Amino acid sequence: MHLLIVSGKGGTGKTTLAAALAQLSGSEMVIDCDVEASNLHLLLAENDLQRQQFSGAKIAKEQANDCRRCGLCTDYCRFGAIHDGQVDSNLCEGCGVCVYVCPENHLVLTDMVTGTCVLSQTSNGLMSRAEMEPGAEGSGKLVTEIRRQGRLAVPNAQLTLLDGPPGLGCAVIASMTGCQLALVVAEASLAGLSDARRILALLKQMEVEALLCINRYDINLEASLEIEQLCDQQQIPLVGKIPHDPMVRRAQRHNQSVLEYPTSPAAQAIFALWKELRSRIAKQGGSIE
Amino acid sequence: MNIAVLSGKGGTGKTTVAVNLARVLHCRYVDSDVEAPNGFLFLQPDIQDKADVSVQIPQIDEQRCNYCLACVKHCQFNALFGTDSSIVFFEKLCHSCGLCSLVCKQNAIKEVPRRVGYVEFGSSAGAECWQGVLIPGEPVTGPVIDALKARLDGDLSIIDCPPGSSCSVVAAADKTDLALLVTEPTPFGVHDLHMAVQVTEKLNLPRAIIINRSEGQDAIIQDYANATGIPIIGRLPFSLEAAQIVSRGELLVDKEEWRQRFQNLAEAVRELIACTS
Repeated sequence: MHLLIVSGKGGTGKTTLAAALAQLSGSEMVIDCDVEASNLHLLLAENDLQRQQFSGAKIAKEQANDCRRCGLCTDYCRFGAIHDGQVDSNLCEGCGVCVYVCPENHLVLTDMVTGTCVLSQTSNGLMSRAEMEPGAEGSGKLVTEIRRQGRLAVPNAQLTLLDGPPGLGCAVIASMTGCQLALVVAEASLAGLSDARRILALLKQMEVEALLCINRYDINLEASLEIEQLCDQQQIPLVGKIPHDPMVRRAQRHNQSVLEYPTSPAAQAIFALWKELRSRIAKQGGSIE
Repeated sequence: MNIAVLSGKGGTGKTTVAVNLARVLHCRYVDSDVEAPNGFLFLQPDIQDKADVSVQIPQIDEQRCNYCLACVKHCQFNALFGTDSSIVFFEKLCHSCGLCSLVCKQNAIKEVPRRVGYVEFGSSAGAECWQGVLIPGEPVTGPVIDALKARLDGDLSIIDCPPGSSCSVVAAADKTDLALLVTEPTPFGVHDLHMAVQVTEKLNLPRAIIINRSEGQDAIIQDYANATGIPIIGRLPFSLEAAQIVSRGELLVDKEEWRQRFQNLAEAVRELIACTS
């Protein structure tokens, strides 16, 4: 069973919740799919077992031989990434058009390292994560790679927990592919509602069963109610409502899990959420102890 | 003058800073977080113009195709798959580079547009507001962001960037004049701030830090700023009330106490602009 935690909007509490659920579920494999700004390892990883560079994109490179400045590459490149035979690495998508049109063999396509895949030890099991090269192309491919790394490391994980990236572009689509269940963490705000709508539309397209929880629901009870109505309309099970709780901020400041404060209202709500989630996972045919 | 607002970490307050700052600076606001655009919820602009964003994708004429598979072999994105009697195209993998039609000796490939998003142009309180919106299910954000950036004309614009540190952030922040890095004083905040800083380094942008949900000293960010030499130009204090105002889609600058804070921030930004230009 692959369970993905997503939100559309950033900063709604995905990682905080993912860390708590990783502890509660005892999941043997946790994957941090937010490769552009990964944080889960700060809470869960104890030490790194393996680091491996990953080339997930190509880039055009100039050769030593002379460029005649014919300008064909510039004319044909649709990304504005090459001028006077010089490649702008920030803009090059590695499509190979310039290499193909160059009459002088001045250009070649080379592999580009887009990130480092890391396998880390957690207290329950293993974590697969990545450190993406800043500004790199192909964050989706990197996500696919660490998911593959996760499957190889723990081939028969009963529960694989995935902390998703914000947004709904390629990295989110790569995170969603093949997941059986997704938990949407919606923030009780107008922006949270708008982004929850968009992520639910994507989950529907990708045919991933969605569950939803509202974080800091009491910050805006009206928006929280609207999110509940959205769940009703779309028949999305609401599996939890987590209150605003200063202890969460305290935990974040000290790089601790919220569960370190088990009597706090937020931790209590997460315990209840996990109970509900566990029965949903069981219904889906997943088995967890 | 284009100012990029970025953060690395999502939910640190990029949009809150960008919309309120745009309001006090009376300048254009551009929402380039096309995966999760929220700025218009706050600014409520009257929309005056809207345009679809399309990308070019190949259409294969099976009458002309001789299944040489040159297009399949050349495509770097695995968007084409072929056998000796058919070619299958995966539109979501296509980067619209046009190489397949270039390599086709049979002239069997024609390019046709496919809609991936749209851009909207409006105004609010006398200032322009632009946004790009990616259609759910579309993986590639670049064309929607580029459609916004192609219209920039030199007038002061605040560009609300996507979170993260990938090519979407590069597309949004590239060729801007100044990066404002919004962060929060937590280990997550500083970790992701560093990711954003590395992107701005790659793009050669002058930059400054704004601390949101500040708790006074913010040692964790202050230490980072000292170590990197990036100035902290403003602090917005942690406030439950502010969180509630923002959650309702209201502008903080409509409240007197916050208006003053954003005016001070705008002043600091004006000074930076004077230094960089």
